[in-house]
Amino acid sequence: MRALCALLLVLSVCPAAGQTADETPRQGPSARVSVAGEMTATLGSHDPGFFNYATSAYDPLRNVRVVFDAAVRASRQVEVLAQVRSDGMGHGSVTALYLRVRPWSSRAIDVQAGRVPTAFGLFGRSGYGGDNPLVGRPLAYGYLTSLRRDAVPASTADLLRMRGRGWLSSFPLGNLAPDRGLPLVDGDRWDTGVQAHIGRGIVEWVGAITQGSLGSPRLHDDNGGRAVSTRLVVRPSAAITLGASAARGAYLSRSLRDDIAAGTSIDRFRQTSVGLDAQVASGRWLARGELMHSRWTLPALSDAALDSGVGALAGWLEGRLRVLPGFDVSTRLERLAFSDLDTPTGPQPWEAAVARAEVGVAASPFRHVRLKLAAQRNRRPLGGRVRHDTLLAAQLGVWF
Amino acid sequence: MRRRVLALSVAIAVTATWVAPLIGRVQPAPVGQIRGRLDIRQLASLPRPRPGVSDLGGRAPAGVPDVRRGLVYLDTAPRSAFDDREPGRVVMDQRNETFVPRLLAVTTGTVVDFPNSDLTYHNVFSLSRAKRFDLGRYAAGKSKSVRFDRPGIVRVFCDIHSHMSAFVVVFNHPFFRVTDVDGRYRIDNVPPGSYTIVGWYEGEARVQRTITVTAGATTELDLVVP
Repeated sequence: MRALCALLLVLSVCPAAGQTADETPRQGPSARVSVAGEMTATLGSHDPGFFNYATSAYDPLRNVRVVFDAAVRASRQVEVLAQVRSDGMGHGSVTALYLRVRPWSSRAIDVQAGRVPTAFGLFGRSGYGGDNPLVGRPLAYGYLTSLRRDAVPASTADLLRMRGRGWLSSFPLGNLAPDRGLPLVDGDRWDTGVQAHIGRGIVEWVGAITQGSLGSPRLHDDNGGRAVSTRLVVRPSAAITLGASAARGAYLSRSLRDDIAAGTSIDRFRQTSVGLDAQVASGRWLARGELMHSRWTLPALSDAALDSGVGALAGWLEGRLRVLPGFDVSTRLERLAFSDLDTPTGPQPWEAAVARAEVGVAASPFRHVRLKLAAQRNRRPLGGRVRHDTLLAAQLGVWF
Repeated sequence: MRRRVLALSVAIAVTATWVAPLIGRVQPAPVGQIRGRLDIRQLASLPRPRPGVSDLGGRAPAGVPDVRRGLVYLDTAPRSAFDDREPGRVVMDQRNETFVPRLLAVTTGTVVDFPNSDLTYHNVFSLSRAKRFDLGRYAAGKSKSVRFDRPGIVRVFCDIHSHMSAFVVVFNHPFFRVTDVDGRYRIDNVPPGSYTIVGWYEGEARVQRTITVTAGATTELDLVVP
């Protein structure tokens, strides 16, 4: 973290490369501030199966979220960006704060340092106009598995017992208090570190070194490990965007050091993810989808079955059709499946697979107002107290 | 008998050739002209892109929309203004993530082409009462068009780029003019009479005055938008 602060300081103080004191822009304001905001109020069914719960402590189907984005441009090449978010009408918290530097104004190369947007995948960043055509978010970006960063199972039985209980998981080693588990990708929080982005248009690449892992982004490092993530985007035509992502980072907290084998470094236990995504859009329709695989290594302790770690495979496909000006219909189909573990009764998935279908309509009576109605059907046959549930939600969004 | 028929035919032909045009010839109505300047004291703030907090890198700089132009029009128009006119065709380009021009004034029935001159997708739409439309996403080099049939103010946006916005103001008479960048305007062929003239800027009628136009004369009127 100190290194990061030092880097931020250096980047903000140093003039950008290629710009000397005599080359100060002669026109245009030296500092520009732009602010945008978005408020979404969602009212939906009670979700006793916790299909929509994520790492933030709020039920996404019953929440009021207010988000402010701000950018302060110190010069043509240096910009500070921030996001403040409040859930449930509570106090706001800073969810993004970073410095963006473009060392050469004529080249599409940017360096970002601070709490930066996740480089991985298609859905972890949101954009103008409400990037989510539905109310729910893809399972890969929020659904809580039973894995924890501060507690680990001692055996396969411990893991199997927690299937479908990621919203309040507990294990016998580490922090014994039940708590939320880890998603594949935490869509609510961004990680802290440095990232570089190269290119614009047909090919773009981004690479990042951050503190936490995809499922457990960190403001402060808690294990001495670093996460490395990368994403490559190719646009063979304006209609098609193809992306490939990969990430690897230590996810267990150093508070577990005493609970695992002596001499074992805590940053050995990593979440490794790869993903492919595509978006095709033309005229009034847009289709996009993603496939991602994540694997976590676990301390084997006395159970060799855990030695190979556990995996998850998530896929989702989404379509949106604008049937009238300001009126869309959308649907998303998705599935989150988990790898098998060898158990005395044969191979069994370590977590309960989840499938979801969601349909919705969205209407914009005015440009800055968006109303959504959505219905989702969730199925989780192998675990949890609620194995299937149909949930309804209405959402009002206002932005400026 | 034949001679009589022949004489009658010649008479009809002569009448048709020489007299009929004189009957159909209408003396042009005497008209006047209004000209002046719409003085915009404070230019509207430029619509800026939203902060790209969720972007992985900086965006290409967008173009600067021209907010120096206003619109001057007659609030009421003489009856002759509603005579049938040939519907026109004009262009509102999309260039550097900016609508060019930012302000178009057209008569009802005009078709506006919206070509995409950028390398990225655009999606032109409007939710205005006077014209609700959505052209969908289309790529560089493609163009789509909209016919504006009802008078009113149509705010035009891009569904992909929130900072892109423009106005199409539709009139059912021809007595209007978009000013030049210095605010100058000239409205020609105005029949004599008293009118309410309006100075319009960035979506609102900001100033109005009563004006009397006399035949064959130019009436000067400067308007100030505070």
